[in-house]
Amino acid sequence: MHPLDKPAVQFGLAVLTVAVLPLFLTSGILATEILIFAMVVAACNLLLGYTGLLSFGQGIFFGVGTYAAGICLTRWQVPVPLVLAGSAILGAAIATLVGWLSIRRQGVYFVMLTLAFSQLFYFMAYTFSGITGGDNGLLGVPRPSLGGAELNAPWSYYTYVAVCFLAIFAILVMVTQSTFGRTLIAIRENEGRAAAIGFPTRLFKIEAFAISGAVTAFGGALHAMLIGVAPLSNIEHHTSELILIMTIIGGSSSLFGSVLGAGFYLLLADALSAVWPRWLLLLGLVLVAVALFLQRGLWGLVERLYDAVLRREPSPTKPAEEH
Amino acid sequence: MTDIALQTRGLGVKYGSFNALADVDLAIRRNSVHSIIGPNGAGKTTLFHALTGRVRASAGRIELDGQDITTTSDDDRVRLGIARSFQVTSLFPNLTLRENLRLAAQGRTPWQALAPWRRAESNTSALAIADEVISRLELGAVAGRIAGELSHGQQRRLEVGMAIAARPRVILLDEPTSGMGIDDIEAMKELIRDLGRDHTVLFIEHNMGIVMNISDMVTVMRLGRKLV
Ligand SMILES: Nc1ncnc2c1ncn2[C@@H]1O[C@H](COP(=O)(O)OP(=O)(O)OP(=O)(O)O)[C@@H](O)[C@H]1O
Ligand SMILES: [Mg+2]
Repeated sequence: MHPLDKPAVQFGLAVLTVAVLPLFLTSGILATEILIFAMVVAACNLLLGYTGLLSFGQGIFFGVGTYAAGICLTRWQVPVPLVLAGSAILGAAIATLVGWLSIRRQGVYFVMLTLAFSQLFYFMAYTFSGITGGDNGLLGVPRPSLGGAELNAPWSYYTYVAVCFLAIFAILVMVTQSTFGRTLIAIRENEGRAAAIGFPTRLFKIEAFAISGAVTAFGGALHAMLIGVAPLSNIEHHTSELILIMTIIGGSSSLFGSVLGAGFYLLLADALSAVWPRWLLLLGLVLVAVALFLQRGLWGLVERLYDAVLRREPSPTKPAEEH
Repeated sequence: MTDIALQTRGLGVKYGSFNALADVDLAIRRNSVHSIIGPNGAGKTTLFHALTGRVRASAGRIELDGQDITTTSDDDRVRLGIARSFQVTSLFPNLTLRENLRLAAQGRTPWQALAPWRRAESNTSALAIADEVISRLELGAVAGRIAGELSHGQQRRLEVGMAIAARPRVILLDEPTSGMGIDDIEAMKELIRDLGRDHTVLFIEHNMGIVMNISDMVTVMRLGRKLV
């Protein structure tokens, strides 16, 4: 294992991120968005990097969390901790269903199934506008309050999200270190052998989906409170793409890579959009560059830099990971 | 208990409309070394696939200690005590040798591994089994190496070790000596003979010298059927 992949180091880097973002960013909204996407992308990484499942369904779970928060907070004034827990449970349930049906097929057909579900849920959200607000979404989603104090200021909400982020990140580190996480890696490496030595591989994949869905919906709920709306766009397939792109940019071999991926994408988008309205074009070029030259993502770059500066000896080269 | 560990009656397997296996009746005695021989394409590997549940039997039945396992899933059969090695080496290439064996040992109790809070190291018995297999196969010097970087002979030994780590009653070895050097072959022969003392070993092999040397029984297959 690379020294930077040690669980304590990974968690330390997450703590560092939380501490450093307020020093460099003036916008608390942007900083909070980074942390929310960081956890959602890490959850995607559990599927892509650890289990080898390229899921276009992440937007479903994100959107479900968004709507759960939107509905519970604008209509029923449910306490926020309950909303978050409820979103996670609902996300896990829907991810279990989507995962259970999708993993019946492999490779391209699996990807197609997750895409199809993504479309299905989008149209459901669009059609049942009585519940979801349709095109307009649900407006006026409030931010949480803590001990009577409303966390309306962006940086106070940032603190709230930061605590959630660290808790989720710690859980994900634990999951990837567990015997469960190591079995997922085995399934990614050689599913046939994993089955031949006795693992019911489908069950493991479904559980990976459930955990991923729970975290993603949790993030979706936090996002609704951040922007004050539960928008239709959060359940669009574009959101799934965004999460996948961030996962791939960050590199799927470590959880903290996902934090880098989310941060890099959102900061770059923020900077580029300020200088040029057609910034998405530039972003596209950056993605092409990453895909061509950084096969293991930003995290791969970090590892190489670390080796070059601190270790001065080449680490045993691992074969490039295939997905 | 009967003397027969594994039995098939009229076993058949189809790939599409092609009969890869037909009418195979086998009775494998407990704690014996039973060899399967036959030309390329005879259906030997397919027989192993059927016995381990990787492919479904299209006809006939399979019994393990008298219990019908014809429709039992492949992972359930591991828990019932059937383990195998593959003709084409099939490891977890980016994981260490020891982790490969730990996983194989854990596979016997996979439900434990569903708990995402349980640390892999907390299953000390799986680790102990992995270490035991490592020393039995004399792979201690490379236990921390990535499996994909091992020599061919070491990978073949690990391939067999994966089956041993499952602590099976019946162990199926698909050409374990293929591609091995002479010294490795001798060691593998010893290992199989040794396994036969307290396991039921089913063993596919092309080298007749080895077959004659260590087998208690020989079955000859051709064109998907059992000849002798
Ligand atoms: N997945 C598959 N789909 C279709 N046909 C298959 C498949 N696997 C094997 N076959 C065919 O089934 C027949 C038996 O193959 P099998 O691998 O069982 O032979 P074998 O006796 O193990 O041969 P070898 O000594 O070369 O390993 C062959 O004709 C082979 O081409
Ligand atoms: Mg064969």
